[in-house]
Amino acid sequence: MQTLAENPVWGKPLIGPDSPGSIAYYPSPAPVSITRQLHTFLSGQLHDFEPGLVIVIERKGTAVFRALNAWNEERLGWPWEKVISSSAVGQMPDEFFVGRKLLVFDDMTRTGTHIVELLEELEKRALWKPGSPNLRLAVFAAHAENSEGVPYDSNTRIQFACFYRYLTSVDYERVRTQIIRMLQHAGSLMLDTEHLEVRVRLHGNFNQFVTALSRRAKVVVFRSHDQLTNITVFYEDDGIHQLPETPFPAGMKCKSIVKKCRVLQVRPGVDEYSIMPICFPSIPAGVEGWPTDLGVRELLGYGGHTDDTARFYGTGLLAAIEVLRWALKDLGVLEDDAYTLNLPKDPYGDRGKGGYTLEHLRAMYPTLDLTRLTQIIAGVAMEARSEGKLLRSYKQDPKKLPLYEDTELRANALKLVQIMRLVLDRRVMEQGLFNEVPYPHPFGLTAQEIFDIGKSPQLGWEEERTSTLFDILIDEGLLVTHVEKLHEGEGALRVSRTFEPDGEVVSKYVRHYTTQWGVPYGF
Amino acid sequence: MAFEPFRGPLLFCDLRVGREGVQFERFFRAVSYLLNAWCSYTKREPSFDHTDKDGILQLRAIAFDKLGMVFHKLWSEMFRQTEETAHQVVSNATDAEPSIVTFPSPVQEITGVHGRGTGRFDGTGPPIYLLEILHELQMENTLHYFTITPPKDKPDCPTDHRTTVRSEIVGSPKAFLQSGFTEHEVSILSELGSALKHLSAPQIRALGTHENATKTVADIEKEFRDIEPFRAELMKALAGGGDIYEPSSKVLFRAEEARRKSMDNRKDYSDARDRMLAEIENPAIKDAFCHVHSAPELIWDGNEVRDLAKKAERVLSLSRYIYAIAYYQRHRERIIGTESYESKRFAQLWAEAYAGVTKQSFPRFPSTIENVFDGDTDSLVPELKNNLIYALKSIGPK
Repeated sequence: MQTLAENPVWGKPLIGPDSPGSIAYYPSPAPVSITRQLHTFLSGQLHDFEPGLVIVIERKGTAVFRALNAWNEERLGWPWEKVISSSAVGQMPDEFFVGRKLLVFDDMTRTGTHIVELLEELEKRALWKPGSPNLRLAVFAAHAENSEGVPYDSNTRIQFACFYRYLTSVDYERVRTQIIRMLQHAGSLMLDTEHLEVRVRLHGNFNQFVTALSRRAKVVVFRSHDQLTNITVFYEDDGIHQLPETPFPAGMKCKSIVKKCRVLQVRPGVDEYSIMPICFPSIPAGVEGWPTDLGVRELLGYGGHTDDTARFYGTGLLAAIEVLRWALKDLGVLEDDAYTLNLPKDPYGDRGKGGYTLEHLRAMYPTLDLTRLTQIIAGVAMEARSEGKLLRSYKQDPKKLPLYEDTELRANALKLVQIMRLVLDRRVMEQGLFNEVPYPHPFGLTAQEIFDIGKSPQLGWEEERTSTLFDILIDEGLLVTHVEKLHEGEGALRVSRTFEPDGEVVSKYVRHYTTQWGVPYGF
Repeated sequence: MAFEPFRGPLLFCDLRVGREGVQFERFFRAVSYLLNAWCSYTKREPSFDHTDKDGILQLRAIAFDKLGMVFHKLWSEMFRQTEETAHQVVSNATDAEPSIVTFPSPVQEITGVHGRGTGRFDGTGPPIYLLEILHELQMENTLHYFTITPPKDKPDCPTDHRTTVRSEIVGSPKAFLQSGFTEHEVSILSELGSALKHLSAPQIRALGTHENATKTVADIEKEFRDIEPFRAELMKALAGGGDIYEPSSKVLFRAEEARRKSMDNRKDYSDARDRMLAEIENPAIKDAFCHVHSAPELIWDGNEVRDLAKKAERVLSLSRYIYAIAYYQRHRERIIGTESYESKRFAQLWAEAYAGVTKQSFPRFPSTIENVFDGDTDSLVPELKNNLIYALKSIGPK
């Protein structure tokens, strides 16, 4: 019988040691870091074009921009007032764009779908037309399929500036992997521009910290590839963790959605953690007039020009403040000297006083009143801490927290992304959507659908485990989130958060893996 | 361009280069071996699903597709039994290769007109079915483990149900498996070949169609979903006096599929399962087979399938009645006063159709075709037209 080396069914390692015998080997004596390459490209574009506004393509384009803006070696130093996420363009009135030179930035493009979607929106609003000089596209790396420009319509290609062009699929994937690594190194999630953040420095014991967070939540601790500690604090759909009716939109639903805090170690070896509350309730589509509450209107800055996406994110921001309150109240049961809460500074009032700000939120919430937001967070922190203090006298039953092995969680995460791809592929086939050009986008699964997959008898995962797998997959650059309008029952449209394996490259990996190692049991 | 070494997403560290092509070649070889084992056994009753050409047995397209499906499910299940060892082989932690299944089935389940089949879908276009892949390889002169013969009037359509497939093993079947398969894999294939050869072609179809109650329910529900656009088209045609032949035949076709899956396949499935369990001796294969194919009572005796079966029966009766009317409309001249094929076929159709709607208690449907039409015209009597539309509405989703 053949040995391993002789049996071709095993193939050769795709990902292996850096040795000339490995297919993964690629000689590179002194590569320039991808961060430096990106910085060189983007700073050059900003310098040459001098835009009045940078539109960053969600989500990786935004994350790359934020990473470069905060790069320790050489900050890009671009003001957040002059940045807007492509997802937030619909929130702003035409006057916001008129008279400003627009630089559209994306890290990579293959089909150009995301860029074309943005350009179509701008053209529809008469803010741009093909050939007009007020807009420049800057794409760091372009696949050979579309290096001559993104195909806008049957006759037009919109040209762009780029650092790499005519990349083969292998090189395209290589660059993508490098960018993902860079983002992971910079703390992937911390590069989002849609999440609130407060920081906590521990003086006491880490276990006490985790126990406090788990007071009324399910907690999973794991380590990222860079050995940074991550904690997923998952809040169940119980009587305690509900959102109040006001000031949220009527018809909002917060059952079977993700309600959690992600807690991330800021740097290796330092007991400082970033707490990011995440909560995106689904809301009815097309409901005009919200918010009615004056305070909320002032906070979100919504004037006459809001759309469903803006309302969805606005609702999410308010919901996240509630989730933050839950977490800080639970932390409040710790003794005062166990930790220091480091709250965000007002970028306008506290400038020059050190610390950190939430200015980056401007990309996703361009009309947000940051001064008001920092005040609200400070108020919530104070109230929560006081409420937590009152609970100190109640002895918390010592809980034995379940232990999750990192290797096991990663294996689960791989299985989950395989099943998600499989479910979506079957949906595409059954609905005959494969004939559509371009492919349906966005096209994801809701949190409820993913939790249901996790709870299936074949997997039997608790919701907190499934929720942690989202985090692992998002950090690995394998999963993206969308805001989708989905039919609920017959007719009614709701705006919901959905999750999808990230793009063609990731889907290709997932499908290859499923072919080579089989479909997860029972699916 | 100076790049760092490529590492890819770390979660996919077990991905291999060059594995899939070999998996496919072995999958095709295994299916060819099983088909050969089946065709070489001649003690079976003839059926529509297989033909005898030049003294060589061959399967028709649907039965062949289902043979592929049976193997796909069972092989993947067998792979799972030793999957962990396979991962260890790749990471050089063990050399226990001879005792394991080295690869899972590389094809996927794809829902088609006749239920689930096997094929590939990579997100860049429509799914490609097993027969299409094999036919293309044959046309390219790349792989000749099979001879695939599409019907003469559709030479480029290997998925047509009249296509025939035969195995092309040169030399002894055992030698055909000699290279590339582990001892364990050869023993599995050998036992499977010995067991599968006893099944009739309809039994293979039933076994390839059903696995468990969940999937059977999903498949039947899909048939009802697929009926919807044609039901709507049919109602519109009835109301507006349009052609009802095409939509009624499409509704009927899917209603028949729904009924087969919800009722008729049970016997063939049950017989096939019993025979396989009697023939398979290896406990590991038997175990895998039982995992893949639930007992018939678990599939068909649950309330969900029973309810769907009732619905299928009702939809089938109604669609058959309307189709009989449409058939008469279309072939009236060859039916009235002749002994033609159409005349005989209509007589049979109408008898079955009227018996069906009577059994299902659809109200006020004429018992003779003469009372269906408004005088000598092609138009339906208005009252019947309304009753048919009402009945079609009643079988729609609640």
